[in-house]
Amino acid sequence: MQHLRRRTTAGITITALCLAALAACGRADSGSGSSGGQGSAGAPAEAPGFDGTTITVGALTPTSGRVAVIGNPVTVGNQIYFDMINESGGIAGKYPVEVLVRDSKYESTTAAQEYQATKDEVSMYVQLLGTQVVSSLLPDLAQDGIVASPASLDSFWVREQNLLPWGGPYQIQVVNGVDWYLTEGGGEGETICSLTQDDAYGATGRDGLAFVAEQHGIKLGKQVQFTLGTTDYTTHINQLKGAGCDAVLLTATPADTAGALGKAAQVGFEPQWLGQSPTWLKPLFEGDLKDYAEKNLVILAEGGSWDKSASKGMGDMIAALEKYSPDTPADWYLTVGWTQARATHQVLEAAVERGDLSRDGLIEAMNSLDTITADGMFGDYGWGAPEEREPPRTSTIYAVDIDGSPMGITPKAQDYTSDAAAEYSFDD
Amino acid sequence: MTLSHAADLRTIRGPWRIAFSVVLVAVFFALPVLISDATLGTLILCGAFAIGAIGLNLLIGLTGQVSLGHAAFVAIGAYCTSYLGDGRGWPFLAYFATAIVLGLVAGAVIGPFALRLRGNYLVIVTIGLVFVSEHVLRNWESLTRPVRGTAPTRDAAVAIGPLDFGAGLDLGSALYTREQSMFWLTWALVALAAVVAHNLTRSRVGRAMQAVRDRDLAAEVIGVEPGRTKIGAFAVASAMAAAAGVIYALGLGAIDYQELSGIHGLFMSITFVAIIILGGLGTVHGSILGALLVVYGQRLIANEGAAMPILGIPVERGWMSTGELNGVLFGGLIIVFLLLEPRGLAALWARVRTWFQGWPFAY
Repeated sequence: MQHLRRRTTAGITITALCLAALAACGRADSGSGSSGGQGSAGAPAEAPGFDGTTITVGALTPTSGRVAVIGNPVTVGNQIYFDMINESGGIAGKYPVEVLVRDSKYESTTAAQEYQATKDEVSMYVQLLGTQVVSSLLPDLAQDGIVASPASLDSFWVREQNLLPWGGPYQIQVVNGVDWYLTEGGGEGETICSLTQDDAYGATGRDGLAFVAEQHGIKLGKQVQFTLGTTDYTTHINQLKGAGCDAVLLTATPADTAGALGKAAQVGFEPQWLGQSPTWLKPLFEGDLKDYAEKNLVILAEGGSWDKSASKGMGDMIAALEKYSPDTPADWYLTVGWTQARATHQVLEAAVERGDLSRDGLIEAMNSLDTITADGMFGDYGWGAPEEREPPRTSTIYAVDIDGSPMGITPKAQDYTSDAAAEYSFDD
Repeated sequence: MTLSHAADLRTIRGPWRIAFSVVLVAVFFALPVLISDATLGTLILCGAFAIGAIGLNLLIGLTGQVSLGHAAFVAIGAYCTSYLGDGRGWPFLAYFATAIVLGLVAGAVIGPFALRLRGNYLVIVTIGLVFVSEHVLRNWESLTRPVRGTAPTRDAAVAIGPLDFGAGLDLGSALYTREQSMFWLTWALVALAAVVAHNLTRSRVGRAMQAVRDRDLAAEVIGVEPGRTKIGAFAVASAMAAAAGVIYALGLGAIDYQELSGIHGLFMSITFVAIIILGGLGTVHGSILGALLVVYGQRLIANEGAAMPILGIPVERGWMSTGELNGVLFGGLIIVFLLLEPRGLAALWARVRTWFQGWPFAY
């Protein structure tokens, strides 16, 4: 018993000594990281992600798993843009940009870990891929004062202080796409249903569909949801077929799109599929599904043809791709990555001009911009403080054209803006 | 070697172990001051997995009841943190205790299945748990998706008396970050779980568990009740998984039901099994070593992988991403351990310890 008491006393003494030592060497919470960054005479001082010469930006994106087919080309789009900028010296001709890529696996928990591991090493994030991922990281971004460009087009991002969205929101894609189908696509009086992912991304499709249905005064048909990674779509497709759907809004990622359309083709279900932009991936539709997709699928996205003369942005991007990543095939997601990097460049350029690359400096620089432009590749984004931001309300309805277009899709109705889209409010 | 019953009962035996314990305590207090918050964040997750693995090791390693449903119980703790801690503002000890009690009860409810099943059949039933929990969590939207599809845990209070680990400890002249403070709390809980498990293993209950594992009929003959022992093991393991879920949720700041149930839940459960296989089946410290190896090892590869040449091709731009590399490496590691050292890191550690204990003589 005495031994025990002696050991306990020794343990308490050691613990007390350690605690006393600790009391003298705490470190303050890094907080928003707003200190530093402002340099004198216009030269930005060192700040998180900026060592005085190189600016590091982060990309949390799936490089493995089912959604890597989107993450990888988006990241190539980010990279080739900065390769082009770095060749002419970097941001403001002086500061080259490095992209720190981490695999989020399209999982919000993995993304949270990667965010914590990288946030002190980056100035901002050029890419956070996934609506669910962005949604779960938003409070952290706000707390740490970090700017991030979402590779996701939820309309909810428009008014967020820390986000740098870059294109027409998913809700606008759906509103324009369904409006086009009802007016120009021959769908007047038809039953419109939906097959949507069971998460925050899926909710964007359902939101847009509910809005456009209300605007047109139509009653929607069957609404079916699925879980990411579903392997058998028999039940889902049978429900839609049984409900007599003439058109189905599809909010999914490519692997699930192929699974659902493959099952629909098997059972002879041939509605007009209206797929949001992340549903598309050319290689998945080059085989047996080619004829079915060309006949029944349209993609609701933004942009134009894969053509150097289509816009300055598209011309620059194709040239950069040929130069810096010639083995990468044409892909619509490259335009997403390029546009994100273009937007990030504008924020960094403004911050360097103001001589402040700190976290607070980047937010102020971002808010000082009037427009975020993609050089004509996508519509211009009216910028300013969060409450002033106005995203593009145009969409492009693409037809599937596997052999006719390097992307596999070609514009059927370009820069389509519906009255319903003009009515959509981003303040609700 | 112990020469008396009193010496055998000691938790820390011999001068080497006392010295090692002192070093561990010093490292526990010093580490958060020395390393970055990002690394501490990973070590907090390691701690969460260590607590869960200690519980699972009691079930699999000590009692021989294989379970692949551990993630379902982790989800109980995680959602207690979100719903009660973040959503309802309960104090830490209240939602932590509630999580443990709910985990205990859920484990006791599942436990009876183990009475009638063994081996592969029991594995299948426990796999079913993660899919049942997926169905429940998917449809219980108010619990799992209160804020734009996710369940936040960031604002759950983490204070015990005057010590506020969530906001960061304020010890007079020193102010600590949330990560530093949470590290201390987490690893103190790991130590507590280890002591509880260690005491269980050397008690009558622990011996009964081992007897059930080795031959349950023989155990019954010598007076052990296999049913009560199996249910007890399930209940304790589930309670520890729920406790791990609380720390896991606090470490991440938000949770997603899809990653705690269904296919991803099964993957998490397999990760727990990998931890105890690599760490050492049936050992408490093996669970901790395994958690550090698997969770911190994966973080290390994620951190360094982007610059790591794989046959001359950098990952992320080459033929393998860091996520895939992690999968391949840890899959390979499990195979290597099962072939070369089935008793895991704990056995390697025992060799090092024996060398020190026998020094300067080599036995």
